[in-house]
Amino acid sequence: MVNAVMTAPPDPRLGPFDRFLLWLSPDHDLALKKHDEIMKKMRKYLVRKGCVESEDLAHEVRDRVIKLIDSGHENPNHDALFYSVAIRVWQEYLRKPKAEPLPTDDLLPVTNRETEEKELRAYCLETCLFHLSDPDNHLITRYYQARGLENIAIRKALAAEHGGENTLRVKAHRIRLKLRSCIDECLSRRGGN
Amino acid sequence: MKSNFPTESMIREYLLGRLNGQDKLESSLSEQMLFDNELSEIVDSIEDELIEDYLDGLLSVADRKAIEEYFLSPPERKEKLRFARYLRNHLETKPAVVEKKILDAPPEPILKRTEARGSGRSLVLHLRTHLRTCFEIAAVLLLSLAGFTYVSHVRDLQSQLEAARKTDAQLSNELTQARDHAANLAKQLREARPPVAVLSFLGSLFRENPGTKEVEISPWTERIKVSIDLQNASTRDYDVRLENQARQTLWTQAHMPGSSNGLVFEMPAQSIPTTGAYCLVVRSRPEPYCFRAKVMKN
Repeated sequence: MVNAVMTAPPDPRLGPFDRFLLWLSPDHDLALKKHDEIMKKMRKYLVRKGCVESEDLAHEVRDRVIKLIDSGHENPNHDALFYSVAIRVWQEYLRKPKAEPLPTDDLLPVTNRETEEKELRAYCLETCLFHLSDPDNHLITRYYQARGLENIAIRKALAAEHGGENTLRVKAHRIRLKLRSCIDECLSRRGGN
Repeated sequence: MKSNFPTESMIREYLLGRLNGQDKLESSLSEQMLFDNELSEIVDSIEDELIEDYLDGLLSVADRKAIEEYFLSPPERKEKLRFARYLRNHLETKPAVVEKKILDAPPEPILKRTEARGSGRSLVLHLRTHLRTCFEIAAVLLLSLAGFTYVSHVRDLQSQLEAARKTDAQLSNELTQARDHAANLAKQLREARPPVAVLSFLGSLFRENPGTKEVEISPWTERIKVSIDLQNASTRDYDVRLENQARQTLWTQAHMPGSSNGLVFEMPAQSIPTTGAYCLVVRSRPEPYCFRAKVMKN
């Protein structure tokens, strides 16, 4: 669907970002919300594509889309435009020489500050587990206690209880997201971030 | 899971970067995963599972290599791995079932409870059980105390009742004894204070010498028993009258029978009001029978 913003000549009073927001939605708040959603998807896509600098690349995608809109590009499908730009950005990223990624485990010695952070993280985890609902707490505890080769039978039983492996996996994923969000908030409140 | 969704196996291959060479397939999957929220969530959950399988050592060598060289490249995935490792270390040693919501406040900082990860919930459960037990024990103690107090009170009342009965019996006894005593005393009094005074005339009498016979009349004297020797009198009836010194008749009685013993009769003591001389005149007897009466006031 083509809207009036796309067909009208560019308003010289508006900057490129404002025009971009207008393209997303005539409602400013809704436009910002859509912007955040699309950026989240872009980051997710780029992480799934194995990109180390997913945040920077997502901004790159957005900036290119802003330029396109500013130049009068007509594409009412926001998702499709973003995606097509994201593919290009990713392909360019693949062609760029990259630095060796850091090893999974830190080899640097643990400082005192890191010890404090570790303890603070432990406290936040404990608090956030406490604030989970009983069913969530029960599930995530059993889910982790059923890990490992020796506990396959337990995992199967757990999956049967929760509507199958896919459903169990999604439930556990959601609980992990809750915990991570809670922990991040806890850490930022206590200055641990 | 919708029917047009890719399979779990295909998603895993995508995430491990093995579909990057197949542009059309990879592009189609990328777009679908990006813009279908349900599929996007499933892909995220499979990412989590890849990490768990990696930590469990369940992956093949090739998969493990793909994880380390491709999948874990982005810092976001490294952070996911770190978090997963941390979470499983914490939860693997936790009790399976816990209760909460007794206390709204979160547990104390783990800095203060380094020995008890997860004991906050156990502590709450322990406290809850303990508190309930304490309330139950307190209730039992209160009931016992109330019961003991009631029984004690009832026993007190019974004792008082028993004592009252004993007192009553004792008082009845005493009353009976008092009555007996009173009766005895009355008897003794009667014996000590006879109601009859005796006036006996034996031998010859003279009006002019009233002092020869004397009778004492006490306040308790009710009657005066008179015995007169009639000497050769017949056993006929006699009329008798009492006169004072002024010859006034104070008392009279007719048709009193005589016997071989004489004339015996009783007259009321109140017939003789004052101390003085009095005579009993017997009709057909030649001389009156006179006497002196001494009336005692107290």
